Parts: sequence; C-alpha cells; structure tokens
Amino acid sequence: MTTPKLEVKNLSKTFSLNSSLTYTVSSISMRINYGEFVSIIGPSGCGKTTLLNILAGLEKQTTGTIYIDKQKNQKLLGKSGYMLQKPLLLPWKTVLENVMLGLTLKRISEKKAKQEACNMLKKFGLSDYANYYPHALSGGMAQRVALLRTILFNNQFLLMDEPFGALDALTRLSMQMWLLDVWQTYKSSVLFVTHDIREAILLSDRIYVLSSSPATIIKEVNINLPRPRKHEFLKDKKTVEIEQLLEQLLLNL
Amino acid sequence: MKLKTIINLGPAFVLFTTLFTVWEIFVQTSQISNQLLPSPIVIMQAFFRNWNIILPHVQQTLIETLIGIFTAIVIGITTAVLLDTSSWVKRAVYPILVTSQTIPIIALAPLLLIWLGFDIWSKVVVVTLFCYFPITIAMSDGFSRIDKEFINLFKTMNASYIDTMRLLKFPSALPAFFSGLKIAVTYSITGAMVGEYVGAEKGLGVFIQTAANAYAISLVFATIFVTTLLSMLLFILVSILEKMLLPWKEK
Repeated sequence: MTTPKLEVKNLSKTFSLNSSLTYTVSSISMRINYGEFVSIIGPSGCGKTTLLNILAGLEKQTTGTIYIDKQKNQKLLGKSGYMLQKPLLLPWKTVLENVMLGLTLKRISEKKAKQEACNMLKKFGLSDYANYYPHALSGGMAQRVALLRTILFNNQFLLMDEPFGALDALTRLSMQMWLLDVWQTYKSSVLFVTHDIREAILLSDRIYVLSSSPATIIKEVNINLPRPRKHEFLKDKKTVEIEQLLEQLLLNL
Repeated sequence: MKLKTIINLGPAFVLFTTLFTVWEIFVQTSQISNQLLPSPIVIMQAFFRNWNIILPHVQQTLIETLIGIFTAIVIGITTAVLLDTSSWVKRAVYPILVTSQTIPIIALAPLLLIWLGFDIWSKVVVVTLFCYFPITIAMSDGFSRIDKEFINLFKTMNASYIDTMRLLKFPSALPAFFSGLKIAVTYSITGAMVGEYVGAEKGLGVFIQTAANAYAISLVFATIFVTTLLSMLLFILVSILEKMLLPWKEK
C-alpha cells in the first residue's frame, strides 16, 4: 500500500450555538495518495470550506488527527498551495509579480523568483500576459494566474475550493483541461472541492461525497477512466452511470 | 486626456466665474463701499500690490503646515498599525480617538502656546491635531476593509507579519490613506492659522489679524484668497502623488 500525502482520521469540528454543540464537520476520515487527484462534492454550505480551511491550517479541528507526509498534527500553514474561487490577485502587482508572490514570501532572491515565474508563465502559455495588471484579465485568465501562483508556492499539495465556480461553462471546460495539464506536469496531490458532478468525474481519481451540515463522508467513488482525460469520456455509458449515482446521492441528502 | 481634463473642469470654471462676476457687479452697483465689502477686482489689486509683504507670512505658515502634516502622517500611520494589531486594541482605543475629536482644537491652542512658546512648534502641533484624525481613521478603515480571504491567502503562504504589512496591508490601504490625507491637507493651512491667531510673530494668521485691526478689509480678503490657493495647491499635490503611487487605481 502506498503512503498517503495526506491522511485524516476522525476529524470533527464543532461550534457552540445557543449552548448546544453543533457539528460543521463530523468524523471525517480520508486520504490522498501521492500524485492523486481527489475531489470532494457536496451541497453548497455543507462544511467543505471548513474542512479545507482546517487542512490549510487556517482553522483548528476540535478532534481528529491530520497526517501530512506521515507526520502528525504539525503546523499546517504553508504546507499546501491554497486556491479559492476568487483569484485574489494583488491589483497593484503585474501578473509576473503576482506569480512570484510565494517565492518572495519564502525569501527567495528577486532575480531567481522572477526567473522561475517567467519560466512558469512560458511553460503554460501566459508569457504574453506577464506585464498585465489583474484588472485587464478575464476571469479565466486571472484564475490561471492564481493557479500558477499557487503552484509556484507549493506544487506538491494543492487544496482547491471551487476554483472554477465563478467561471462560465466554456471557460470552465478549458480550465479543467489546463488544470490537468499542470497537475500532470508536477504530479501534485490535489484535494479539489466542487459541487459540479461532471467536473469531479472528469478530473478525479477518486471522489468523496459529503452530506450536508454536518459534513460527513457518505460515499467514496473510484473513477477508473484512462489518463489523459478527455471531455468525451463524460459520454461513456459507465461514466454516465456514475454521474447518475452521484446525482441521486446528492439529491437525496 | 488633456482635452478631457479641460472639459471636466469646464462646469466648475463657469460657476466660479459667474459667482465672482455677480459679486463684482453687486458691489459696483450697490452703495456698499469697497472698504466694507471689496469687489474681487479690488481684492486682486490688493493681493498683487502687497504680494512682497504677504510672502514671508506664506513661507512661515507653509513651513508650519508641512511639518505638521508630516508629523500627522507619521503618528497617524503608526496609530493605524497599532489599531490593526488586535481587535481588542481597536475596541479600546477607537472610541477615545473619536471622543478626542470633540475637543475644540481652538481651545487647546492657547495651552499649546503656554507649553511650547511663540515659535513654530505650537502651530505645528495644532496642524498635527487637525490632520491626525482623518489620516488615522482613513488608514485604519483601509486596513479593516481588506478582504479576509487575502489575509487567509497570506497566512497559508506562511507570510510573516512584516511581509503581510509590506506586501498586502499597506498597498491595500493606500487609496484610503490618500482619501484621508486629502481631507487633512485641506484643513492643514487653517490649522496653522488657528495656531497663529492665538499668538505668533509671523504667519498668515497674524497677518490677517493685523489687516483686520487696521480695517484693511481688502487685504483680509486677499489673505483668504492666498489661504484657499495654498490649500488647493496642497490638495492637488496630494492628488498628483496619489496618481503616481497608485497607477492601478486608474481603471
């Protein structure tokens, strides 16, 4: 059995509301193997974001253990690349400077950071935009820049919270393929939160289905489609069956 | 761009000209003597005739004002940074800050004169008191208006406090800071003059008093004209600085 990048055991998060304990996340156990693309789907507001924030180190769990690289409950901040629905690009910095941000914070010399960011932009076809300011970018382009910034900070472990949620359907399609391209380049371990079933199937090796508040895992589904993935796979008979199964699960919550 | 600026300024220019023309016509056609209410032309004549007398006073007031603004900026930013360190500090200090603004600064001016003497420092402090509040509040609001998700992003990137300040919070709060600074500089000249009113040897506040005591009303108006001119120049200077430092705000 391969060692996981991330292992979560019995993770729960409670908060007290009117002197009664309420669970937002309830006894979640999960794992992500090295280089594995894992998605979490669940209804909106079910506590997916809380779960991701805990894994990113922004919030503390009430109970449960988190292992990253087999190490238990370490300081989680900085251990993952964290990406949200909003691109969160600094408006006063150019695309290049935004992509460099993670390296700047790691105190890597400006020259070297610039070099690496340039290479990154070139590799993924954004060189032409290097000197643009974020306000001049389309939503999809801004999110590409945000992904490259995330990757340059940490390309081994990515936490993504509905990163394409704000994009239109067409942009989203090309972004999904682009993400897979980036992911395969770095063999990153990814935890991808979405409420789009087809997106989850297209991207993932494995999908966890969460129930709504408290978030708890109700099903785990393996997606055995060949890589590299293509959009046509979504029309396969087997894929459609999985899609319907997931849809039923989510609808009956 | 140039043409657009002129077009934008057009309406204000027309209104100004109209107001002054009405004023001029009113004084000339009515029986009011120029001694009591001078017409704009008389005021301008007084201004140009006495320019060399006014100039040293302008210098004095301007020096007090600039030192005062600079001090207010330094203390204001420091306060805003301290307020930002924790919500407890903010909750404790903010109300005091607001309450302190209800103290009439004009009432403090004589005290400052007693404590600091006749030279420029009592006036500098008055200017600082005038400018400190808008700068502090604007900067502090700028800090608190930063999207929480940006702060979280920096946290997940393990950013230090200094880096978060330097790379995120300061640049984010700059537009707010400049709004505050614009309000502050328009008050600042008045602040210096309030300080001078209470007691000074030189400065526009002193000059305007002397002129009023001598019933040289046109000279009083000329000084008021100089004051507004200076305030506007400071305002424009800050606006230019803002444009230079915040090129991304254009869009």
